Amino acid sequence: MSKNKARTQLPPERLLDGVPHHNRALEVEAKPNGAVLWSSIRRRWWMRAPFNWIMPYRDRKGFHLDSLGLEVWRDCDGRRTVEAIVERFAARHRVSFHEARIAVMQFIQIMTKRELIAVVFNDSGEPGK
Amino acid sequence: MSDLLKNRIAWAGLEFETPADWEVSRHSPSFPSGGLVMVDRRRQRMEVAWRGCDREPDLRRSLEDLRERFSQPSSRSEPQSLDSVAGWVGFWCRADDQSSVAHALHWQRGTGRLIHVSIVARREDRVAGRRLAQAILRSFRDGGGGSRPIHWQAFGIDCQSPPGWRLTSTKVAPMDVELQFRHFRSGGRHEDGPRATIRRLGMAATWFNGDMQAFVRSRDPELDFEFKPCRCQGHDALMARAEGEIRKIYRWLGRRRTRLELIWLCEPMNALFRVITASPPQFPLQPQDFELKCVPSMMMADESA
Repeated sequence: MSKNKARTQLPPERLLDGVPHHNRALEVEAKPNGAVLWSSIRRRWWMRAPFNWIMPYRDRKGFHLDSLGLEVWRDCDGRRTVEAIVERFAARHRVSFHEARIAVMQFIQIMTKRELIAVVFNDSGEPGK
Repeated sequence: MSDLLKNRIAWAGLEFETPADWEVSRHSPSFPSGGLVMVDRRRQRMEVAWRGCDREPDLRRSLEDLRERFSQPSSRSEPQSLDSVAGWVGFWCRADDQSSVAHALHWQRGTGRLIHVSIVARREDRVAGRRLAQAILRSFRDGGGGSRPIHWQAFGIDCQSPPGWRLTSTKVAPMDVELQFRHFRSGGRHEDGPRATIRRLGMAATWFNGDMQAFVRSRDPELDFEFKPCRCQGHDALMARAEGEIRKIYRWLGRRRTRLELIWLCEPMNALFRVITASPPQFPLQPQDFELKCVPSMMMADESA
């Protein structure tokens, strides 16, 4: 979102209706206790030659997910709503829906800020896409 | 428990039932006056407020005051009387375009408390909303306090505080719930009195390696624990005992405390339960006195989801 656009705050009850989608540009590298998501860094003019001859810049950055993060990441498949993802998490770990919601929504918020996933809302107010 | 109501809440002597996915979102630990707010997955659904009222109040007059306070001037319809539930008086009024609110009052002679319950129902399913409100009101019980124990059931914890004990603080975080109780003498002072902490740590399978002794030691490394295996709620448990205050000056001042901790892992709830008590050696307080239960049905998540 551009800095000039006004940010609109969704009512909390609508957040559960969003459908998280993976960023398709990411590369996923499996690790023993989770995974690393690699995203490429846009190369600015000062990151190109001849500047990078002196100061080499990395061309991608990685986000490490532990096993819990990887579970939620896999559930963000573009078909399930946030509510369905929370339900699955709660059932797997035998916690209440409300406990799972706080943990999962914080995680989705972090992933969204880092552009690893995008949450799509339907303007008609219908759950799902 | 009726088909509509699958979740039992007990707080500060009040007990009632709610639909399965309702949860306490705001609470006050006080017995004489306080409040509870319940939410479902998306919005606030119910509020319970109580306050001390030694003499029987004029409920009709209180109800009229409530009517005036909550009936909107712009609303075309007058507040409708709440269908009678024994012991309760109340009415329905319109909250906004989409919802109605039931306000109900009840005075409990035994505890001397006036209880005000408000339940939100969607206007589109008015009949179901009325049935639900009636079922919740019918499930209300007000007891405990004085010489009787107080039952607490919320956030995946089900316990009883013995007579004279009060809940003084709560810390509710996802997968980590802590209730702290203190004993009050008749004068109301509690600074040096015995205390107890009840804690539920969820998602144990992801972080707990099964070594309860190491876990207890790691939480309080300065204490020298003696361990004794035991059984609790059908699980293998561990009782840990330590002298809480070892400095001589405090012993001379009579502030020596014996610390007991009962800890067990409940696999069906995937949670570690801890009951910690600190009491003077001459009045030992056992963790079992709080009757903490692990009840797997308290966790609402459905395995088939």
